[in-house]
Amino acid sequence: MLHQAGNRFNAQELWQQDHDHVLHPYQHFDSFKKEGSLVLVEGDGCYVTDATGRRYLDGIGGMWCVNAGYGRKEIAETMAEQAMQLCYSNFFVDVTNAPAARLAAKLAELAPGTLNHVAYATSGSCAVDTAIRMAHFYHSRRGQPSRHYVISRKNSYHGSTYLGMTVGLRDGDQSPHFKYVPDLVHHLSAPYPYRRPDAMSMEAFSDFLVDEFAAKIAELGAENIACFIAEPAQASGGVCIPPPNYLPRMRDLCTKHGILFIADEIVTAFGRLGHFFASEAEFGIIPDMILCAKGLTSGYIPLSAVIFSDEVYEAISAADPDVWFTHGYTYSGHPVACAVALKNIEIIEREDLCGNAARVGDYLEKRLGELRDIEIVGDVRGRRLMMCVEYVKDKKTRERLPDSCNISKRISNACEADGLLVRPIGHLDVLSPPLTITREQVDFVVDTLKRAILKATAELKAEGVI
Amino acid sequence: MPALDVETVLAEASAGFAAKRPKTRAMHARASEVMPGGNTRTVLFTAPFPLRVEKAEGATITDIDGHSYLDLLGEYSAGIYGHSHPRIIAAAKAALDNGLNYGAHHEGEVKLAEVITRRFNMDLVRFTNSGTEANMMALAAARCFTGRAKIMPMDGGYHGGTLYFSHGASPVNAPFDCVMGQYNDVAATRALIAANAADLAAVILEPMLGGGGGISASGEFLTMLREETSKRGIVLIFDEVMTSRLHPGGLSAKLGIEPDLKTLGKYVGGGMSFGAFGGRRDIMALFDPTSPTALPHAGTFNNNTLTMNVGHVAMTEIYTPEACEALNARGDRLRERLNDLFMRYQVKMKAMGQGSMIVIHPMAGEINSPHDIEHTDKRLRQLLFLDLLEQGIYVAERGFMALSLMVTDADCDRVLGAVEGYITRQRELLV
Repeated sequence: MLHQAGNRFNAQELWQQDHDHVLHPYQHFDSFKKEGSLVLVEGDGCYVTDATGRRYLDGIGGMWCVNAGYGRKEIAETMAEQAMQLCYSNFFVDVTNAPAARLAAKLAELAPGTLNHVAYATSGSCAVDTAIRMAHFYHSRRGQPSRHYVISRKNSYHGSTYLGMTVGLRDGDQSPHFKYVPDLVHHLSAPYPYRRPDAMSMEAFSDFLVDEFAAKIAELGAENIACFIAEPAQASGGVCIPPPNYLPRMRDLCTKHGILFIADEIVTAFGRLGHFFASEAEFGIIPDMILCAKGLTSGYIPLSAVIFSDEVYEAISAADPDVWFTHGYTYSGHPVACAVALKNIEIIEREDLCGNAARVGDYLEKRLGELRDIEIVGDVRGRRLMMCVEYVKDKKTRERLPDSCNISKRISNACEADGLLVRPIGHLDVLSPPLTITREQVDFVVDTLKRAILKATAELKAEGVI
Repeated sequence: MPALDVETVLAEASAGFAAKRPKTRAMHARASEVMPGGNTRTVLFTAPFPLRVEKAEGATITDIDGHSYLDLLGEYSAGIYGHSHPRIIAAAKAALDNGLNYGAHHEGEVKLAEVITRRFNMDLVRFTNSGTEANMMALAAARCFTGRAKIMPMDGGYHGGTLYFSHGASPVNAPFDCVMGQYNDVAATRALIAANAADLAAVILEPMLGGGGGISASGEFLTMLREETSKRGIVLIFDEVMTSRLHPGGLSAKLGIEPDLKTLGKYVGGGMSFGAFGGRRDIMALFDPTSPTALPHAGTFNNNTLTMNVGHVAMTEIYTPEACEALNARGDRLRERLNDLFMRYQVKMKAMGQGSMIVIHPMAGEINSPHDIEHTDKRLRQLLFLDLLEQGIYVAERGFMALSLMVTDADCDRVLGAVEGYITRQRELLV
């Protein structure tokens, strides 16, 4: 029963159990040992409630994923019904199930171009692995087995498997205490307009990035390059909207050199930018593969998909009695997860959540823009319901505040005290709320964040940092 | 866990309140021997028995059982300077040093009248002992000026103990012949004015209902009143006893709508008993004793030296236009954050008012007139009141708060935390 979180849960016990037994993704041991975790126990709409009964507007949307909002009874019921009907089915080789078949057809209908084929996985990370393995398989099947390099970009995030962490390269992600796949990935510059070289126009910056790719192709040889993987808008690497025309030009280079273009739309797909998929609708490109997860099920259950083109399918499936696509997971095409995805898509369409994301997202962009006047706000950027604020010491030079200020965490803590969750990443605080968010809720988000930034600004002044 | 019901929770809160205050309970019994219900000002009475304060300092009051509270009731808007402002105390001492109760004119009344007429845009002003008296005199002046008998207050309006119009007229009201206007109902009220124009001396209202729930008059409504009354020779009176604190020139200045007369009270006398009415020269001139037809205006304490001198210091040195703007900005921030809190928890609560005056209602939805709050659950008002007391915060039982200059941003944070605590504990009753 809702509304009773404060009375039903033993907050201290849960905190302790987590503290003593859980290793979290990206755990920072020093602070975790002291502070532990925020224990969440309920969610409804745009809100989550912790074990003590405190309620927060979840400005993060879980992890860019609770697109349809929390507490959707019909999704929960769909899960229960499918679990009763068929909780699992083998999906290997030649067995399928009804939700997985229907969902594949629906994804083919929604995806742009000839992207009519679906390989399921269970997380965005696994989708990245699947896509890169598929790219290698594709080129080999076409008689070009030397094509193995993966071209990625700095500030990118493509999951946290051994391969995913090799492909992505956000600041600080590649810890010296881990190992990475050698001689596989080359990283180009990030399309990070705010931090482009001084006095360089956006057009010149776009030229620079595209020329860099062309030079990289020349250096490695197109015959050795399998794929280019890119988030159309880099998400956790900085919420960067690339310079105009950058993506179409990168797409053209890929086409020209037979390099597969893999669009990692794990964050951007399913409405966050106002469209089911952003590649074509927002950025004017049709990739060879689109990766999605997160919003595919609105986070109710893990599921991801690699949606790929007829051309890729034709190549990998060309007749050969000895060829097996030896890749896939026990939980590929999980019937409960696929049923949830279908219900989730039904809700997004029925409630026009893409339309709401577009309308309210435009309002969020406008209101967040007010923060630009604050002394430590260097940049406010993003698109619609995928936004961030970047903090700096000096607006003119864009010099960052010292890491010791822990600025984004300091501000997110102040927001949390006022009932708003935002996600601190490096020198940014990121917003990616559920697509159901209203204008009134946007007002709350912006007013609260603004207050927290002003408070931090005053503190930094008192501390003599600025 | 069984579902909680409001009766049980309220009974527990009430019992908890009583158990912690044995001296207050005993004093209440003693008071009841000599005053009806142990009370001499109805609005201060709360069940099971009212708080009894021993001393106060800054924004803190302490009851006779030793419990201290952050005072957000702010003496229903009169206590804007807090309880021990050093400048007020010094001014009071200085006034006392020059002697009390002259029974004669003095400079103090001139200085205060100069400040007030300038600040609140009045041609002439007269002092009284309370806001009630000011309103009674303003209405009397309007009736004499127009030669008409009827007055139009608003249904749900409050202008003092003898001018109280909630659910019809209070039985202790002065026996004016009233036509009841409908607050914020432009069409109905316009029609009533037109229908009674020949007999109507005055329309009186607060541009924001203070004690009536922090409900603001719409610009459209006030514009209509101004037009209709001007056209028909009816005196428009704004009761700014409470609302004058919301803007350096009063709420009428903020709205840009000038009535013919306005009344003041509460904080203007620096915390001493005070009232004033003033405005158009031709109306106020009726009281000029040099005229053979002058209207009388009595009042032993109208120009008492304490109020006149302390009020002058308060209005020129403490509640300056800058201080007024800062205080109201603080109130706006607190109200906005309270409403954010209510939205976040999706509870049926709403903070109304303007600037430094805030009223929390246990309901959601639009509130445009006193009718909209008629059916709110009084038990939930009581519960919030008792819960905040338990957390060391004193507001009016009806949810009314008036921030004093002593209330800090940290105090406001504390209030938000306390209200959030109340909501997380009682959310089941509030959704």
